[in-house]
Amino acid sequence: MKYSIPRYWRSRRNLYRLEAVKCRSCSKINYPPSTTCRYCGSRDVELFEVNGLAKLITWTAVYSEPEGFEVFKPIVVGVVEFPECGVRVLARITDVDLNELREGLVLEPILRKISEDGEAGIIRYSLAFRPKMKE
Amino acid sequence: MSSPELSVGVIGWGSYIPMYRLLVSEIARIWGFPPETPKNLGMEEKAVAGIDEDSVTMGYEAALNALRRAEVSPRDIGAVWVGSESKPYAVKPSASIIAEALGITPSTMAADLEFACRAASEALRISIGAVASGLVKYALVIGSDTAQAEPGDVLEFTASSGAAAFVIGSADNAAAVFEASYTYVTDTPDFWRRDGALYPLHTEAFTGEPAYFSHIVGAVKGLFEKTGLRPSDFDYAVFHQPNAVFPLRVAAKIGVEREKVLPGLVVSKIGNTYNASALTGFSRILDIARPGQRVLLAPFGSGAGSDAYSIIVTDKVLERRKKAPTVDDYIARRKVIDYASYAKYRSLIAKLPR
Repeated sequence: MKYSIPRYWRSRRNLYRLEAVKCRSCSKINYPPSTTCRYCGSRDVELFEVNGLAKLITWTAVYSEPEGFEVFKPIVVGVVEFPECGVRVLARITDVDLNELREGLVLEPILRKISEDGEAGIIRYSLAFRPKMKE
Repeated sequence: MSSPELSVGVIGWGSYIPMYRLLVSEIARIWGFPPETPKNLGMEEKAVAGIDEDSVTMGYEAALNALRRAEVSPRDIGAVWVGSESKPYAVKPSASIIAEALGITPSTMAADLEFACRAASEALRISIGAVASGLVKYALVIGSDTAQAEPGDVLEFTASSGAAAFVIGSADNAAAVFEASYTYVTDTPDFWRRDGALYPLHTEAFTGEPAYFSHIVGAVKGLFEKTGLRPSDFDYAVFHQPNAVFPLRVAAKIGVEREKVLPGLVVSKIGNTYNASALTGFSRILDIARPGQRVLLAPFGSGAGSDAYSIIVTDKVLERRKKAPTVDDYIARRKVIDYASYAKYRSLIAKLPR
């Protein structure tokens, strides 16, 4: 077992749900969440869950993968933005061919398996993004 | 007639089917089956979970869709029950991961149930009791499987991946109301997987008659005797779908017309999603049914048992079906892959420990 379990456990809510904080003073969204607003310095912040559709800003394909990520490569990693609240996150892009990637691609957050600590260790789950499905 | 079922219903329903498809003709080509073999099962293609998917991630998305339709706060969910025979962890609940990801924790019950393909259906019956008694306001029931089949086994033509989920709550706010339910269980060794074994084994001659057919017929007859309902009282019938032939054959034994089974029969396009099999068929019915229509639902699980439900659709179904992708939306989202990709995605390739 090579993964730090406490680290995964502490971050699980940030990995499973996009928890940010909203400043009650200046109304700005802070992501990652913080106890002090990084825009105005106020400590009056409340939990804000980021939801909805996002847009692809930029991306890359990773072929030199860290340990535990071997079967997932090429790993597409992108910066995505939620237009409504302006939050940008770095995340795995999945269910997509490299030639389908383009700026502005509409994405939706879904839970996926991100890496595995060998055959017997912990499985890490996190939100990832996939092209919005047609309804 | 006053039964606990009458006060309980489906508040929201949700599906998930992974996008990858393996044509059964590809399986026949690789393993040297005659082309008739998959054709005789009524199969065309099956859904394959991607490399980063498992029964937790699929169950999560189905549950998310069910919550979107139910429009209830995750905090009001008092139980999360996951039926699966393909848990990512042998020991460590899938239910707690999904509950955490959906914001349902910590004030909730959560457990994984195992009864081959009908564990999630057992969870449905348990949830009826839990809601009717007032123990919980809402229960979240999830069936999710990445079904295993040994490469080259005839099971490989059907064993697939998918999930279905239901928010169960008071009948007052339900899109479909339970009318009655009945369960029929015996010790029948038709299909099993021992602890630590990679793939299940099955008793070829047992699969049909003493297992699938007699248990579903037993459950449905029990339901009919309990309620006085007859096949003609139902608008739709959904049975467990191990292939596209058995559900039609069991319908004929019960006296239900083929036309009532076909709308919920999704196996030929997505395969047998095990715990999500009959429940995905039922979800499709909720996607298309008119208020007032009555549905016969009978999942089956090896080992063996079946539950029969009579369910009446309400007018709330119309508005709620628009709030999440339908089963047909997921069936339409498809990308055909080759056997090699399937083998990688489903870990059929033996690799040295990393």
